[in-house]
Formats: sequence, structure tokens, C-alpha cells
Amino acid sequence: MASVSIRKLGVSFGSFQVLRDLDLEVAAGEFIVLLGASGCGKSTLLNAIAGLLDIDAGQIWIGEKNVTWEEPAHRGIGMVFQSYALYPRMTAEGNLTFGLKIARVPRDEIERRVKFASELLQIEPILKRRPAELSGGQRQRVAIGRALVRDVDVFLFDEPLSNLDAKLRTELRVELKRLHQRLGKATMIYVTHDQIEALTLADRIAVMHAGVIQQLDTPHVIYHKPANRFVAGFVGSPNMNFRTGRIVDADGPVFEGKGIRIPLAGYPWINGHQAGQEVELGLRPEHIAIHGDLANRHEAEVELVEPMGPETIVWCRLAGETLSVRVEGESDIAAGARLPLGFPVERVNLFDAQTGLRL
Amino acid sequence: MTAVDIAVEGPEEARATATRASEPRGPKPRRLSIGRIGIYAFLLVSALFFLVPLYIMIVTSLKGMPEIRLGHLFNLPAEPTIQPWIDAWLHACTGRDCNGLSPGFANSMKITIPSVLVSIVCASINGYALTYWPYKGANLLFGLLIFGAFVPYQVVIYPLIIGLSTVGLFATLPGIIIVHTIFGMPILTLLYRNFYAALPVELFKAARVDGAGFWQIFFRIMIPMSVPITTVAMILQVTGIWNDFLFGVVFAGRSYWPMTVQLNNIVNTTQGVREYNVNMAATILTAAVPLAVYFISGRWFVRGIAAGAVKG
Repeated sequence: MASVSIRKLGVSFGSFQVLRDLDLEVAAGEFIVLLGASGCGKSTLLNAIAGLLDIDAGQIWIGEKNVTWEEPAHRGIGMVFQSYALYPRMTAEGNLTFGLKIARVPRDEIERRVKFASELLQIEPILKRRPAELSGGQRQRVAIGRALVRDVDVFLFDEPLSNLDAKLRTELRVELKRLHQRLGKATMIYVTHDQIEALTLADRIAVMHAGVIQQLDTPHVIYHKPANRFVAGFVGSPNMNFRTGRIVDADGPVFEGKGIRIPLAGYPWINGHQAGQEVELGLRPEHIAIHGDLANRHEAEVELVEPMGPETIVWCRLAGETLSVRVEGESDIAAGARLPLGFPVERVNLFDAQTGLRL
Repeated sequence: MTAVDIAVEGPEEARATATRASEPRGPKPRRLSIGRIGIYAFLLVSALFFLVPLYIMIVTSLKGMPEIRLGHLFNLPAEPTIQPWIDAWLHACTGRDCNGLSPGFANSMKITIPSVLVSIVCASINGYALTYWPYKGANLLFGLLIFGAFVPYQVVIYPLIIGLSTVGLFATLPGIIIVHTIFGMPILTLLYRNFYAALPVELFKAARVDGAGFWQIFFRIMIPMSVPITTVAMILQVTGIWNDFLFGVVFAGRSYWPMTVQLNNIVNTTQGVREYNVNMAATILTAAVPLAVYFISGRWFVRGIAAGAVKG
């Protein structure tokens, strides 16, 4: 069991400061996902934890040990890379045992660990093959195995599934989750730009933007109660629908935007608000109702229908702006129709237009 | 024309074939265009340009002197003889010594083999360190090294003579090996650095996480992957050092004059009869080693260059 603690970490490349005063506490056994677009500093953070780049400031603790100045090999970590990074001139088995041989692990112990990892990952039949003779999925398994045999408590994943095709990615994603459950005590830090991976795998997600962790919470909270406008817009596909407007006072606060008006009685406020405040309202496509009692009913024109199998995305126009609505797959809504929509206030997200913070 | 004829006269199937023939279908037919003829003509002329002199050299080297004096340059030898080759190898005179080229061949071997090995070992370590273990001023050093590739050799010869003679290595075998290693360094380091820079850096990171150090990563990961680029470096160095004349004549000293210098001395002998057949044989013998290297490893050479080009 090992927790990971990042304290006031600073990293810069030349004069460009990628990370500044970054704090992150990862509990032992936790699966944490660093989610963000490319260039947000998530991979930099991971490499800093691994000890693969020089840091400017702060400390990194793994378990009860300050590893800030430790070599990568002595930090008690295993790492899996996007490009697999298998040693091309060695067999799969050679790849697994390379680090152990360098660490002068006894032969029978090496055998035991290779057996354990290859059984867990089902790669025994391919142990004698070179990486060039393996498929993408097999290569990534071997790469995961190389981290497993190190017998460490902390695993670092740098976009491990991004080079795989969609089908394989889904399969390996499930396997990764299973692996984490089976290992039980392993702490995993996983970098990805894929929000589905983040939502499905993580115990907690850290959404990063411009070197700053925007929100660190469970997938459920990240998705349903985004802390700010960035997180709200980044997570979810299709995007959350946004409308700018202001809060007016008419027997209690009411949101008023272009062609849209929603009384805010029952909105779970977490921050103060005042009449006249400029705000941005966000509502996820699946939270817009088309059946039953339509609270805050508005009527929109259907512009485009995207059937996706289990669900259908309906693109509407409301007061000149596009709005996406997620409905069931069997829906018979056709383009050109007029569609009554309901905006349930308890599903609404409000953000301050200036600060972007959740209200 | 024929298509139309068949279509009119032929039965059902023939008409079907006719339409199929006129419609684009299957592999596109290749036609010999004027451009293509031009290309082949150019290739042919280029090949002749290099092969005709070689042909003349070979036939001349197989003729006796009386036959050469007749002046029929292109004729095949009427009485083929390998005596000129034997003379060139064992008996041709360079100044006072008449031992042929064989001592030069031995000298060239003694110079080329260690020079190639030492320069490749140094350059690969250089390229590896510059790529993966950057230190303060590494880029400046690399820039200076590359600049070295553009310095004309003649400029540095005199300072090098002074330097080597100060440490007592002028006109010795180690001296010439050092000179070749130094002059091979810029281009070889560039070659290796670019090769290593084109490898995925994650490979290096993975090895770091596995606990491998500077030399372990170099020997266990990088060297096994360097076969293509080492083939290229080897060919460059073997041909470059074998064909070298300038450094050999200046730095090797009389007792280690390489084959090229001895060839020059044989061919440019001013006294006696000019033995064209022996000269031709001696020239071919001297050029044989680089030629053999190209023929044997040319395939890998192209592959290595291409591998570097695509990845870089």
C-alpha cells in the first residue's frame, strides 16, 4: 500500500512554467485519472512523479518516503507508455525480466513474478516472441506486464490505450479495471484525454487545464456537479448546452437568456448570487426532457437528427442558437418538426460569467 | 477498330468482351511513354559513362605490353595474361623497393580496421549521450562538432602535425588512427545522434524506470537497435579511410604508407617504361576493397539510409 503525495510541485521547460504550486493527494489503492487536453500538463505531472524530468520546486512523496531526488527505479513505481516502449530487440519475456535482471533479483523470484504477471495478463503463449511479432493489444499487455513484475505499489499509465483501435480500447479498459480490482492494493495514476476512460476507470478524476487541477472528485460529481465552466464544457459528449444570460429577481431568482427563461427556485446554490449578475447556464443533452410534465416548457425546431443506436441526438434551434438533446434510440423525431422541451431546474448548472465558478 | 469489328460481327460473348476491353477495368495497362524512354536512355548513358573506363582498365590489365602498344584500346586481350596483376601485387617498384602493393594493402588494413572501430565506438557514444543525457552546453558542443565537418582538412593539417609530434605520435600507426577518428567524428556523431533522436524517447524512459543506467541502456537497448545505422557508418568509414591519400601520406609515416600512397608511387614512377597493364591492375586492386564493401552491403546501406530518413 502506498499513497502518493504531490506538494507544491513546480515544473518548467525553459522559461515556460508548466506546473506551479500543484498539490495532489492520492490515497493508497486509489485509481486516479488525470484528464485534460494535450498540453495541459498531465503527462508532465506523471513524468515528474516517475522522476523522468527535473522539477523546479516542491516535493513528491510515495508511501512514507520523500522521493523527490530519487532515481525512477528507486521510487517504487511501474510505468506504462502510450507507444508501449517495448525493447524491440528482446522477446516479450526479455522485456519483462530486463529490469529485474538489472536489479539482480534471484532467478527463481524472476520466474515466479513472470509467471504471475503473464498468467494475470494471459500472455504466456507469446512470451518468446519479439514485439514486432505482436499485435497492438498484445504489446500493451506486455508493457503492463513489465510494470507488474516490478512488484511495486504505484502504477503510472501514460495514455496506455490511445494507440489502440476503438474495439480493443474498450476491451483493455475493462481489463485494466479488473486488474486494479484484483491487485487490490495497487495505487494507479492514469493520464488520458479520453473522458470515457476517465469516467469508467477512475475512483477520482483530476480535470486539468493550463497546468492547474480544475476539479478533483468522483466521476459522478465531475459529471453532474462540475466545479467550473471549463470542467462542465470539457466533460460530456455531446457538450453541455450553454446559454449566457443574467439572474433577475421576480419573486425569487430567475434565469433570463436569449429566448429562454427558467425560474431558479429549487436550484442547489453553493455560492452567493445577486440580481443582475451575469451568468452562464449549462444543461446536459440528456437532462432536457421531452416526455411527461415539461417543467419550464420551451418550444424548439428540430434541425438535425443523429441516430446512434442506443440513443439519438436531436439538434434543435432555440432562439437562433443550437441545442442538443439526447433521447432514446427508438425516437421518431424528424428534422423540421417542432419539439416541446422541458428544462428541469434541479439539473441546471449555473456559472458566474466572469469567474466561471459554479454558483 | 478491332473492338468495333468484333462488336458488329461477333456473337454475344464477343461483344461483351469488347465492351469490357474498352471500359477501364482491372490493372491499368502500362505504356512506354517518351518520358520513360528518356529516363532509360539517361540511365544507360550514365551506366556506360562509369563502366567504359572500368572495362578499359580490366582489358588493359589483362594484356601484355606489346599488345597495348598497338593502341587498340577497346579490344579484348588477344593473349590474356595475369602477369600484370602478379607484378602489381608483388613486384612493382615504389622508388627503391620493388615489393608491389602487398605491403600497402597490409598497411591500409592496419590503419582502416582500428580507425573504423574506434571512430564508430566514439561516435555512437557521443550521439547517444547528446540525445539522451543532455548536459549544460551539449547543444553548443554538438554545433561546434558539426561545424568541424565544414573545416577544410588542409587548414588543420599543420597544427595537427605539430600537436602529434609534440606527443611523439607523428608518423606512427596510432597517430594516423587518431587523425582518422577525429575527422570521422563530426559526420558520424551527426549520423548517430539523428538516429537516436528518431527513436521514441519513451524507450529510454522505460529503461530508466527499469533501473538501467547510462551504459546499461547503451549496451542493452541502444546498441542492439543500431545495426542499420552502424552499417551505414561502417561503409562510410571503410571507404573513406581506405581511399584516403592526404592523411596517409602526411601522418602515417614511410613504414605505414597506405595502399593509396603506394599506388600513387607506382603509377607516377618517372623512370623506365610506363607499364600500363601493371598500373591498371594496381589501381583495380586498390579500389577492390571499397567496391567489395559496396557490393556486399549495398542493400543494407540503402536500407539504413532509408530507415534514418523516414524516421528522422
